[in-house]
Amino acid sequence: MTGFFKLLACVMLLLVPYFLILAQGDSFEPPSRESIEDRTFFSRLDDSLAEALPFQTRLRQLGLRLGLLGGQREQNDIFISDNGLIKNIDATSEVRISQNVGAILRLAERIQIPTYLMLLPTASAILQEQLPPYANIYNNQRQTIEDIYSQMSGQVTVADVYPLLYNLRGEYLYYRTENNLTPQGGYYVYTVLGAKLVGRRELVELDQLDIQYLPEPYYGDLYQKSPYQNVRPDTLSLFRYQAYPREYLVTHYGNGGIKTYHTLYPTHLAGLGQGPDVYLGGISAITTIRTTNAPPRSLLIFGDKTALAYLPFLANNYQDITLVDLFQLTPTLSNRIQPDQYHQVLFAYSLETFDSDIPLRAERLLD
Amino acid sequence: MELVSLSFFYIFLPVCISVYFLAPRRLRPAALLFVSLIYYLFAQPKSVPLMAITVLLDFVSLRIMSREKASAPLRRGCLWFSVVKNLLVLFWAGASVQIRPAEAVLGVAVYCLSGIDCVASVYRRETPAVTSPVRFGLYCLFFPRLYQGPLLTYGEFDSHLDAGPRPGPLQILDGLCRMLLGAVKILLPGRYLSLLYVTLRAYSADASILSRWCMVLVLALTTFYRLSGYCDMAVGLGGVFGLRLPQNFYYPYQSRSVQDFFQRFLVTVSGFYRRLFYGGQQDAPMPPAADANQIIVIGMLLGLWFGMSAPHMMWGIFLAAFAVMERRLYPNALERIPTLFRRMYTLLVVLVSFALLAGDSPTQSLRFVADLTGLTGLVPWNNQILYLLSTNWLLLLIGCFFATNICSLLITTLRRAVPKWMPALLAAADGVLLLLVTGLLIG
Repeated sequence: MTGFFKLLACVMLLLVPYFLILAQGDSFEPPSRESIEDRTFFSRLDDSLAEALPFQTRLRQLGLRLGLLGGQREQNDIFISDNGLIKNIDATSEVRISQNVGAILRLAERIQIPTYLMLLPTASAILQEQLPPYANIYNNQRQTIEDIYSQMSGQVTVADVYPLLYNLRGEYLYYRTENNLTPQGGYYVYTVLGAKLVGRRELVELDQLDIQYLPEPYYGDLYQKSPYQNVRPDTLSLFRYQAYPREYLVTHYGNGGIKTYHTLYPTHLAGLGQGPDVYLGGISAITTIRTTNAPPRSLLIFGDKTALAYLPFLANNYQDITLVDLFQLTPTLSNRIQPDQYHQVLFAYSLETFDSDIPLRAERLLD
Repeated sequence: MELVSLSFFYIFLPVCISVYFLAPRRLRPAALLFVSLIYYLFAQPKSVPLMAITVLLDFVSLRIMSREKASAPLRRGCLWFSVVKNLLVLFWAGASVQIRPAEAVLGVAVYCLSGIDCVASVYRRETPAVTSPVRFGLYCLFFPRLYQGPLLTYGEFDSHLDAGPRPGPLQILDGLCRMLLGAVKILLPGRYLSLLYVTLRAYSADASILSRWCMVLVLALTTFYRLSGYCDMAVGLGGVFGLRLPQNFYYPYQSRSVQDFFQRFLVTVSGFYRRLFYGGQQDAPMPPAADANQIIVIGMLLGLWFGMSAPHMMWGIFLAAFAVMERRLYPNALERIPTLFRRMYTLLVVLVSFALLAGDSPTQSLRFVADLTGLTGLVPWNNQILYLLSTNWLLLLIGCFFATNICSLLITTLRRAVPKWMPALLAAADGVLLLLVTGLLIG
């Protein structure tokens, strides 16, 4: 029997270096007095182990399934519905919204360029019928958007996409596994936004577009946080304009340098595991789109990642579009933006992003 | 490092087991003390000096008291020194937690109360002289006990250190199973119920009578699963290392009276207080007033196990008042009521007591109790509580089911029915539980 215990002890000892080696991620640092005292060392060790353990995805699924079995329909602020994952957003801050509205109005007055505002509702508002009954959601998005629009008082033109999206809520408007609009949802947004920007007659019709579906199933950022196994993956679709020949040059200016793509859809990125980057190559601090044979107009957009859904359509109506992501923009890069060189300026955010200091940042930038 | 973490299960625990079984038998207590100190160092290095000085001073007191030549005044002086010192440490630690809740000193209640218990029993000559710093250190600092005990006498602990049989494979598997079950209790019902409690507790304008009843039920279940989970881990790990630690909970929510509840909830803590205050006469008949006094004092101190605040004491005093009433005012009345109604009565009293425990201040505690009755004008129910119930009904059902002894009865039956298969069944259960714990920790 003593031999058994010695053997057990030796096996146990052999397991330790195995797990320690497993835990050696790139960012793993040896323990220090400070890291033990503030508990960051063991927290990092646990994280590394969690990432490195065999079958970690299945084990993670197990934990989630147990929560679901317990009746949980919400995890990490994400609702798990039969049709997909829907992010819950917090109620907007009235003070912040008011400051942002003021910032946009001041900006519009100063730059003297036609200014537009579009606020996009999130899936939790449009698809609220799919949420669990009595779910505690911020379901006042429509009212908030209308209140903001009413304060623009003719100085800023608004594009209200809420009614259209709500009427078409049965369609594939939002990704099932990502907190963003699909290209189909993006097209409907474009029909409302484009009508305000360039007029209804110039809009690209759906029958002028050739639709291509990427074969790889796509799991978005919500799935990374709540890997609910029963949710169907998303399909990435590309809407290519076929009516007139167009050439596109997409340039990204970011902290990593400059990248260019000669297409709106660099599909090779899907193979590299960067699914949403197949649209314009993703979003950088500054993204410019130059389209040959397009009407000679230019548009400056302060926006978020929702722009990836409707910009591929809008690109056909403008020779130059510049998309600025104020979250990523650094002071060095901000010198590249000259608003007076554009014909129009658009603020386009989801309501979730708008409830931040973004418009205030834009005001400071253009000061 | 936390007791319920991947680094503990996959790195620290294998090292502990290896160190223990590779050490020569006479050095095993030292090996266990060594890993316990390392654990403490990893878990809360800032508190190591306080812990070391406290335990060391208790040991010095014990050494002085254990001398044959030690006079009665000297022995009494050592006793009072140790008691006052430990109470001051406990008071300081309790006050610190009130100011900075994140800075609770790990295991302070366990090693201070263990120190007092040991010094008092040596003073009363109920325990022979304590001569080994290793054994005393291990008694105070055995790492799985640091979170929620259980508390036991030095004599009980010491008798298992080398006199007890060496743990066999079945005991080890059984111990690991118990430890992993404890972890599952903490991670599955404990964690999710605790999240649910935070949501329910946050209701203010959204509160309803139903939400307040749910809040106290969830708090009662959360308290049970968290405390008993840590105790199960301690008992299980004790079993792996050949130490037989007592249980702290005996399915308290199926008690047939409030007196019965006291004998099932935090049993070793109330046992410690009885030993401390009433020594060898704890079972002797007492005058009614003294008896009532004893119950109230122990109830109040039991509340302090949760934390040093007035609502915690109110919780204990409230329950103790019912226990006194049962004993003095209607001693035989409960016997005549069917068991189901006795259990319902006890559960009602216990749930109301948890409304007192939920408050941050006496006023808030009383407000919660008033909310339960609907006297504060709350609506019976609203959409918020219906949503929470519709999404958590299974969790509540599971929480209530596993708080009863039905599973325990099934396992006991299985053990009797297939004793030969127990090693294989336990090994399989260990594997499944380890996967479950890992999944819950990762997810």
